[in-house]
Amino acid sequence: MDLLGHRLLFVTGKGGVGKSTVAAALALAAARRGLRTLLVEMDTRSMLAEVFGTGAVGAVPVELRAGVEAVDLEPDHVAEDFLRTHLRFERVWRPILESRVWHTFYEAAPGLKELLCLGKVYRLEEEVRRYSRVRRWDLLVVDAPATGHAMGLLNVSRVASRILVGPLRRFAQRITDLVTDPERTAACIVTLAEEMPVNETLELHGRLTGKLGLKVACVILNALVRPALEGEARDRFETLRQGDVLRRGLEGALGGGPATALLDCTEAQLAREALQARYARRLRRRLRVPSVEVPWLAVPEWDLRAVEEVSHLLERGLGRVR
Amino acid sequence: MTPGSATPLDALLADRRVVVCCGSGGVGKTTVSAALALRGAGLGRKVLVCTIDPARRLANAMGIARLGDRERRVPPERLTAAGVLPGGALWAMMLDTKRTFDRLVERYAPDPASRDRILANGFYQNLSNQVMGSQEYMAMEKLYELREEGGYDQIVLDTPPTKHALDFLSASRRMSEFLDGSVVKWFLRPSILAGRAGAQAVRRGTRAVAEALDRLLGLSFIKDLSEFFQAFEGLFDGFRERARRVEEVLGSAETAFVLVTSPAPWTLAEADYFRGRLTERGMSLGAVVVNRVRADYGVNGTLSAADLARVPAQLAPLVPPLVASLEAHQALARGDARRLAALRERAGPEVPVATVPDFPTDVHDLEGLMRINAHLFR
Repeated sequence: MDLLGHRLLFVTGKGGVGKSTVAAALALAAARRGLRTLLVEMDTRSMLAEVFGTGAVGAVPVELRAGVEAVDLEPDHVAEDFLRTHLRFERVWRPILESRVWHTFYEAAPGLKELLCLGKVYRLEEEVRRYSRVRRWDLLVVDAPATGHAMGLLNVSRVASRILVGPLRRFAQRITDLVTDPERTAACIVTLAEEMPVNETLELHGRLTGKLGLKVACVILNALVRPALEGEARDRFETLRQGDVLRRGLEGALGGGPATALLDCTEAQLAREALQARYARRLRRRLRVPSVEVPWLAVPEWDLRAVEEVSHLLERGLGRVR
Repeated sequence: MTPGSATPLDALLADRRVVVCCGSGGVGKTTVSAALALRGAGLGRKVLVCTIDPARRLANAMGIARLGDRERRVPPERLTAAGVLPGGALWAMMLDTKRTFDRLVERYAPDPASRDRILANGFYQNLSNQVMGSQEYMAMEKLYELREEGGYDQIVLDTPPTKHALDFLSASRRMSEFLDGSVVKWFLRPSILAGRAGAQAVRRGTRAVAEALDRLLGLSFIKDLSEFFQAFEGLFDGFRERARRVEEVLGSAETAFVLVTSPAPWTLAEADYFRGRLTERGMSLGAVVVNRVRADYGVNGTLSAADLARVPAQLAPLVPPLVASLEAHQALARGDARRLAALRERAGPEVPVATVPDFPTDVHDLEGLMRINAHLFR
């Protein structure tokens, strides 16, 4: 699987699983490979500017570091950009943009914001460098919304091409062609090895690959806790746990407090590992999609070093998948 | 529990008819909603929990595994078995966006013919089914209906995952704005209804706008929309009035917002943002629940050489990995505690902050909810 070999990646998954971090980490990994990468945020209150120490990320691409730029598709800018592109003359689009009808319609018309946002992604993918036919970016990584909203977003051009007519219909059709082209476009579902995220991943995978016709290139199992005890130590622990040998021994040597803390902490972690292993197995059993493992990273603060570390872990995870 | 010993969270929830659990995705809103509802039932109230997408096993445990928007009573014997005091009652339901929307149309349609015309309209079907925003709207709509007609002492609402934390608060207003006012009038232009291009009936100045939009969207799409609005015309007053009252309920003293968060820095940042926006709208935050806080084992894990020398030889090889694991955990637990203290500071004395530990197992039954409540209510 060559995930970074696509032109357009949608990173999605349940809320709270680490989509934005994974998307940023993927962009960094792509840049290390020499790909000119654009990270696309979708009107999120993005932590990018803070993490990368750049100016605010907005409608105009900001360089996060060599080879990686970022934009945030804020709805008002997307609308202006859309009207400007499609109506060309300012005396035509300006009055529309400023009219109350457009404003209310845009605020409330179901799916319109999503359509224009996805349309903007489409146009970014096509963008060429000045004075050349060469694409401006080799790869776009979209930090897509969570499950339900991602479905709304990725489905919108399909619905639009069914109910619209005229120029917008053709536009919607071209967007759908890009999104469903497995050569150019893939989705990655980020998940935790926990009950709800795994269930949602299975469902999302079914809907993306089914009705929407997208390719899901991989599932990214994020934040996997590392084993507290491995190999021989694990066996020894299991043996000595029997009959309270371990507890009595540690209590005798260290006192009740420290012994209890050591044992309770380890027991809780082993229980978590077991649960995690069960959901990871369930995911692998149910999906024929490669799963990429990213270990949990214990950091006190979520800064650039942490994102870079995740990026390297992710790259290693990708390398282990054939 | 005697009234005199009510916990801060009990005191908050005691006389609230509506409890809205909100927060960013993946923090455990659904579980906390169910736990709060169970608490209310244990205190003798008649409580309904309206959830969006509960874990299957939890839904099973509450007896709402079957889809549909009907309220189902959790069998009293299950409550008793879980150790809930008798006297109260618990109902649970899952929100069905499409069904709720249909019911709303059925309620406000002036006659069966317009009802059927709307329900059959392709644009409506897209609107009610798969469009973002309608879930938030319907959650609010359902809340209002249940409050008016359900006869519950308390309704606990689990909010849908929104892109922006407060989308659901303005969902009713946005939807009614869309279905009303200038947009509709615009789409009900006589020229469109007559099927002609152009915009003769529109005031000068909007003509260019009209023509450009017609060109962009295609006249026949606009005609579809126009038909939809026409069919909806008789419903506007009902919708608008409903939207107004929903906002009134949310802003009133009978509603408590409970913000659910995790102790992770970025989720807490979201929670702060949410808190600010809530205040901006004149709605007050009732309480914060911080879910999955890592336990503090109360020791630093560092052992002296003398300690280690006393460990029996048979156990000695285990000590370094156990100590390392505890130290790593404690570092995280201290981070949680630090952020929690800062959160309490920011929230001020009026807003109780309750915590739930990070259980190493799933919460998937009423007993699990009781375990959560043992921490929430103390």
